[in-house]
Amino acid sequence: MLEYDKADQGDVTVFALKGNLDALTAPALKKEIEALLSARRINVVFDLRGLELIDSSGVGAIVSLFKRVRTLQGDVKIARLTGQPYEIFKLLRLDRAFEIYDGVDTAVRRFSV
Amino acid sequence: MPTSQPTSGPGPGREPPQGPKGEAFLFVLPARLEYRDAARAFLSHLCLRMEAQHHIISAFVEAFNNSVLHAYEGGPPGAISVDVFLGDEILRVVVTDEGRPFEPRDVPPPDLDALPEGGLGLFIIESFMDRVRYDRIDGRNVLSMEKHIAKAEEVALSEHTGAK
Repeated sequence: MLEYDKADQGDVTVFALKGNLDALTAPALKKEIEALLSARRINVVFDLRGLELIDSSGVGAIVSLFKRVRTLQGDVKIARLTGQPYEIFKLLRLDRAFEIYDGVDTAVRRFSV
Repeated sequence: MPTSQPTSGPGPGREPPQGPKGEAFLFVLPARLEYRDAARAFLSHLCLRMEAQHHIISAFVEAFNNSVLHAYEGGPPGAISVDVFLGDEILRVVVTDEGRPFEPRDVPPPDLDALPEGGLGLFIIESFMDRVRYDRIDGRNVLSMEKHIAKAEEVALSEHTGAK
């Protein structure tokens, strides 16, 4: 089960994920991502405060988006990474690829710096 | 309907289990991702240190995914059994399916610097668990994963008393 809230803050789209981002739910998020890219929204913050579980399929969805927006001079930043998703990000060394912030507002502001 | 069957202890009319002291639980679930959370919820409530719990759940999820998405891919639907043994110092999770054989040596280690979008499941399992063993037994894939654990109440007690 995955719920997400999507909110635009200027040029930045904030995805707040709640529940599980896994093999079952990643396809739905990928559809959202396609819609985002079609609308040329290439600056994204994932607010992961409510994310209870991420698996390798969920990681694949976020990494795929990251690679695609990077080629378009956009970026994906991560906010409020805790719990099991934090352990996965650390293991896969995703903290070296993604900028990770304690707060959503800070992550959004970093796009304008 | 899922045929989740958590069991504990020897049960009536059965001999007590031999071997190390601990408790054993068995879930038998249809090989569909929707049912994975029945066993995951159980693992979430074992009262372990949080970091160990995150590692065990991460590994279990990948193992279950592999059975559903690879072992049973394109074939008839099957079942997955999840055996959990909780000892004083060890947690063992054995995920068994009757799908296609799995050969871990065929899976190359991921190049993390290249930000791979797949092929990470086995790496997560082997990184987070202390002992991982795969066997093909009587037409079944048997993935056994063990982790050394300290139960949360023991951690809290040792921190409180200063005991090591």
